[in-house]
Amino acid sequence: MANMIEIRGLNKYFGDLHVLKDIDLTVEEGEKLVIIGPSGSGKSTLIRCVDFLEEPTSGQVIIDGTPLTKKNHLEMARTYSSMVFQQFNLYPNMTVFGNLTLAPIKLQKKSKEEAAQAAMAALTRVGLAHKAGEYPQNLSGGQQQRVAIARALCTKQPIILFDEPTSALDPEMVQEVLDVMIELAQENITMICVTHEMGFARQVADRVIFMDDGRILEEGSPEHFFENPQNPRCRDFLAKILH
Amino acid sequence: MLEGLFDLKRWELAFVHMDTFWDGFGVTLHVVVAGLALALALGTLLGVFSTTRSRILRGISRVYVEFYQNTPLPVQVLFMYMAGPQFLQAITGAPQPVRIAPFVLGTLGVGLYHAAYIAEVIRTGIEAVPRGQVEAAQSQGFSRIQTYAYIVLPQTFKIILPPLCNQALNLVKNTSVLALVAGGDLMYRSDNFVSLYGYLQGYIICCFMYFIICFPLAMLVQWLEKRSKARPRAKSIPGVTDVAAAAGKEA
Amino acid sequence: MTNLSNAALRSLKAQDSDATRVAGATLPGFVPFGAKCSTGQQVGTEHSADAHGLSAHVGRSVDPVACARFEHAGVEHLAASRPGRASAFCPTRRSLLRGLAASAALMGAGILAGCGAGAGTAAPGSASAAPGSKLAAIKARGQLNAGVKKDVPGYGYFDPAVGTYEGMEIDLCYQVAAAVFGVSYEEARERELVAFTDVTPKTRGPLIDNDQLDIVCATYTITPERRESWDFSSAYRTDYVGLMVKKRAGFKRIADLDGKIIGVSQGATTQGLIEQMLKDEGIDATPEFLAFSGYPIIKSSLDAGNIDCFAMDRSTLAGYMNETVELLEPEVKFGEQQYGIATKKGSDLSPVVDRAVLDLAAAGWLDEEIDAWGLV
Repeated sequence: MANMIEIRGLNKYFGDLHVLKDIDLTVEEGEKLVIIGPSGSGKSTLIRCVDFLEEPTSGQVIIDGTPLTKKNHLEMARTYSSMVFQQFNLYPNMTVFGNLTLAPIKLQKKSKEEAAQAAMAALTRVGLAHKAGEYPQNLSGGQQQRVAIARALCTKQPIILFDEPTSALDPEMVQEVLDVMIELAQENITMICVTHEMGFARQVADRVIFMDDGRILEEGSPEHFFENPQNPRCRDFLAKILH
Repeated sequence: MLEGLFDLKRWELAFVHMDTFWDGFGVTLHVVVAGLALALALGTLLGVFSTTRSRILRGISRVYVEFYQNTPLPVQVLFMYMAGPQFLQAITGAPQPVRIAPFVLGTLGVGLYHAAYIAEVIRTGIEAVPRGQVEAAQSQGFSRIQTYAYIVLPQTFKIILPPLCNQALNLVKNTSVLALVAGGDLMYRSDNFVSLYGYLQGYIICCFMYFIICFPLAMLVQWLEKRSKARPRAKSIPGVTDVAAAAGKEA
Repeated sequence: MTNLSNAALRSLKAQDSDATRVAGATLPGFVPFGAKCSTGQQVGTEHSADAHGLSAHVGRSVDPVACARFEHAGVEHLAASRPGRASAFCPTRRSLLRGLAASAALMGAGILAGCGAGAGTAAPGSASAAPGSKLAAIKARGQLNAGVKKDVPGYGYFDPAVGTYEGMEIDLCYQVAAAVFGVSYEEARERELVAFTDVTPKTRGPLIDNDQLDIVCATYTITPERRESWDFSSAYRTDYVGLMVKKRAGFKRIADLDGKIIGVSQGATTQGLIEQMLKDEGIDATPEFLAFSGYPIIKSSLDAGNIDCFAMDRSTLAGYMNETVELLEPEVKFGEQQYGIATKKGSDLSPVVDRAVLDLAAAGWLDEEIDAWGLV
């Protein structure tokens, strides 16, 4: 399989704070990658760099052979990647339907009919077709996150980045979102997911990465990870999170 | 003096001159509409400037806002009125000073002045839109201008509509600055009437006419404030929501 | 706006007097009070005699007709000019006035001061020390208190560099002082027999009323309304409305103002006067009028090029004259108004002032002054 994402020597500073330290990482097309680690380990910053929401201080992010730059990142985002945020970030001034059709119509220059069809298909997949005319603030957190995933699906990019998609949800809503993500994982979409949901990681991930203090400390298959982690800090973290 | 207010003959004379008052009302209304358009356009631009990353744009916005907020409107208008014609003569090379029509002067006067205030309103409005909104737009690939146009500003407007209407209200009243330079507006006509006849009826009619413009605006502010607190109701989108509902029933 | 109803005119308080504000209300056949009073030559002689010294009054016979006229004018304190009865009257009136002053100090203060001064400085037993006499008070004081303009060049202008007032009205004040004190004009100037105070339209009436000023000679237009409150001398100067334009605009004739903008003062009748003139002169021009709240902004607007013409009394315009502006066709005279010297209603000073103005007019002195000060 071809490399979809290649990260080379990535460093990121916030002022004096060294958040990412010489990260090298390759993600294959269609791979499902889960990143775990304690808060402040740099995992969110890492996937934000992939979407160029954070500009790397040094190093490169190469998507499908093209390095991300200040100039091309919007074009690259349009073509390759979409992101699902912890806080959903749906546009509250638009209906669910409006949220889903805005980018296809304005950015991808699709016809209204085409966009509407794609939107309804995506909404049907997340089980919210009947909420098309609703405004986001009238939906539950779980529903909003499902709409956000549908929004990411609508633009049909090959990469979807999930930044702790269930962390802001009430516990009873976590599963409905995870179900959608699990269903999505059946497809040939490259997924990078920052999460604390170990069940999800175990079920869906092709590979798991453990990050701490701005470095990747351990990586491997879910089996390897959950049964035989090598790094003591990783073991520590997993012990805390699983029990 | 005050008993004259109830003098029917004075009222009669005032009403005979009603056309003059309405003429002034028309001029004021025109200036209000044009001035508001200018203030909104420029104010939005400057407000956006002040939230960009560019230091130059932020600086421009800051200087503009500070200048206009900290100098009196009458001085600004008098300065444009007195300096304008010869300035325009100098840059156009016309043989005589180039006059600025009262309508233009009024529009520029209140437009530029209130643009500063509107810029501040817009800035706070934009800053009130969560950062995640911009990030969501950026991750979808929207350029900054598109992000502002489709996502940030529409949300901003909802937040700022009440204070914006307040600005409009003040703008209406501030058009009376035109009377200073014999601008033919409502205030000017009323003042002329009063100084010619000595009847305060002129001012009462004048107040009434400003009220006609301002009161609906004040009502609008209240309504908007109420509305902005209410949850939006679901929209029915033809060909989408009805189809989905039908599908839901079948299922 | 162009047609001023009478009611409107009446409502315009005579307070603000410069200008054409009330010019339209001047009655054609109007004769100031002073003129009527001084038609008897005797009065004139009496006052010139007066001027020779206070003691001249004693034992002097006075024309009874003149006295009757004064009384007719409703001026009780002019009783002082009846020397024979003065001694009998004075103590009574004085005590009466003192009583009044005690109860109403403010009101009585001026009159009392005049009376006291007259009594204190006059020779013992002098009849001219009679209370209420303006003339006596002035002579006792040794100076004529005159209210003048300080900002109307050619009429009354205070030159801050030199620290003195100058203008036709200033000269006229010295002439009045000369008449009051019975000295020559040159002597009056030399001895500085006039104390000048600058007045505004708002202050000049009250300052006469409370006796702070003896005369007001300050482009004060004679109107019937004002005549009811104050005495006016015969007119010493007839002023007209002027049309001030920028030289650079190149206007040659009034007709050139067709479609142009004329700035006038708010509440003034100037617009009506100009429109009447255009009709009378058969000039086919329809200018636009803009009314401003004060003279300075009209002038600034003219300088800035926002208006083409500044229309106002020529005396007022004189204050704004400079090398960049000119009067348009000054030979076309319209919007006539007459300036008179105001004195306290019924005062014994009034006929003296009027006599002086009439004499100066007859002698051609007023015309010489007009020429000398370059008034148009």
